[in-house]
Amino acid sequence: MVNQDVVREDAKLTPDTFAALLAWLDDGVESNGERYIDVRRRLASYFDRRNRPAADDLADRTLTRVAITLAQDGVITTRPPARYCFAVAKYVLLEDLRGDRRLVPFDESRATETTGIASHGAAAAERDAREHRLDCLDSCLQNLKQEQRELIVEYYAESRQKKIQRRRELAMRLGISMNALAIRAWRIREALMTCVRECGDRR
Amino acid sequence: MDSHKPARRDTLLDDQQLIRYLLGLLPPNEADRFDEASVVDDAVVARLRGVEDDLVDAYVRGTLAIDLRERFESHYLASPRRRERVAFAAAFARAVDDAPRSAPSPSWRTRWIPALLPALAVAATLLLVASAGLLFVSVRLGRGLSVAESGRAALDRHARDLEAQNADLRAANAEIAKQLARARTPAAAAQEVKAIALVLVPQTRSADTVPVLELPPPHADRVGFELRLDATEFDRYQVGLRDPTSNAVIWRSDWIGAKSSADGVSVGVAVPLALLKPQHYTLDLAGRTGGDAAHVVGSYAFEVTRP
Repeated sequence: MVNQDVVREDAKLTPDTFAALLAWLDDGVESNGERYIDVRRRLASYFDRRNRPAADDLADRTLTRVAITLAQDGVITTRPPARYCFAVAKYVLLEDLRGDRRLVPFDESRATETTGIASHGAAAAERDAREHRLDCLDSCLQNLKQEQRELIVEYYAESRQKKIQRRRELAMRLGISMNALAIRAWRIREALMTCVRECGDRR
Repeated sequence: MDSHKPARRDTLLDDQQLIRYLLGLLPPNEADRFDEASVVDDAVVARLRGVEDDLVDAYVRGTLAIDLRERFESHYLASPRRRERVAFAAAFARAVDDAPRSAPSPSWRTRWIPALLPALAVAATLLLVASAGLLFVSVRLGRGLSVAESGRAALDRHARDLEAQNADLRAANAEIAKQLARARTPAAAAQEVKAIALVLVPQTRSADTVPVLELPPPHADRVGFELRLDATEFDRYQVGLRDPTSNAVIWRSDWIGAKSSADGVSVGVAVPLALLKPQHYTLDLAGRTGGDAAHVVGSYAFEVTRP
């Protein structure tokens, strides 16, 4: 399945190898790149839960190696494709852990928090950031379609009614399953978070 | 996927197990199974994302049980990426909690603008509008100038009534100011039962309903809380007001004693009103005896809303 020789190769992706990777990840169901984005997000979350600071980079490194293997071998038989990606990701994690012994990234925000000595300037900056985040969220919420806004308010808002019951009723009203509703709500929320992040970056 | 292991897969879809996985509470071999499923198994991925968002929302709303909250802070918040999720969730929760349920408003934040006009001015305006409306209708009915004059007379009477009410309010404010001055001393704050606005019980489950505190009128400057205890374990107690959006303790009481009443044992504090805005908070209660180290006693969540 996966061996050390494969995962230690480093090379650049070409447009052809990237296109082959997208098609392989789709596994016969055209997704227009959605599947790639989703698998990359899953990998990044996996690395993050393993407390790796550069989770996105590690996800990219994993997928690059999968793409190169695919280009070299022509075929990867492991199904589903995500299972093979996870096998490669475990090697990438081990490599990163070994590298970590030599280089420990400095998490500046965490260091500031743990000292417990926040200056007035830092507190003011945090207030500004929070205020700006609220402005961004306000703007991003306005960009949603009305039915999307209503859905996330109904799905995520706190109320005295039992959460599960409220969501079940919402799913019934929309004529979809609870799972489908959860996925729909999560996608809107992720899109909002991305929008807020990009808005913050433009600051 | 994993269909040959139905019993094991069930555990992968169990919300409590997923929470334990997210908080790093599973043994390594179990965590490995969840790691793989979190990338490979579509159903697990979907459930895990939902559980994670609900967990983060519960944290920012201050509704997590104290043991989970401590684990959340020590484990989940260790990652900058996850801290970003929490920061977003804090803003997001405020937005969706404040939004109308059926018809979206142009801007949810505009509804947060505090009402700056005194209640008296609002009442006066309403009376003026009502009186003007009365005059207009009367004139239209042909009752002429005499009716308009009687309307003006009624307006004068309203104005005099308002002046009298204003004097009453000033007197009431003076009395409230005296009561607050008494409540400002720590000892009085602990004993002043009349000033208590909200009685809180310790949270035991994340699903517990969060008490809601409507902000009192602008002339008040403190809000009283009575924190119920199961038993008097310590000589002295200290209360900290925590803002879940920043996870910072923004106010602390002095070390004060508990008091007993027919309702049980409790600790009373008066929190400065200026610190509170419409969102969730928790009151962290610590206790100690003599010179011993302080111990966490409990966490009391509440939500502040505008009337």
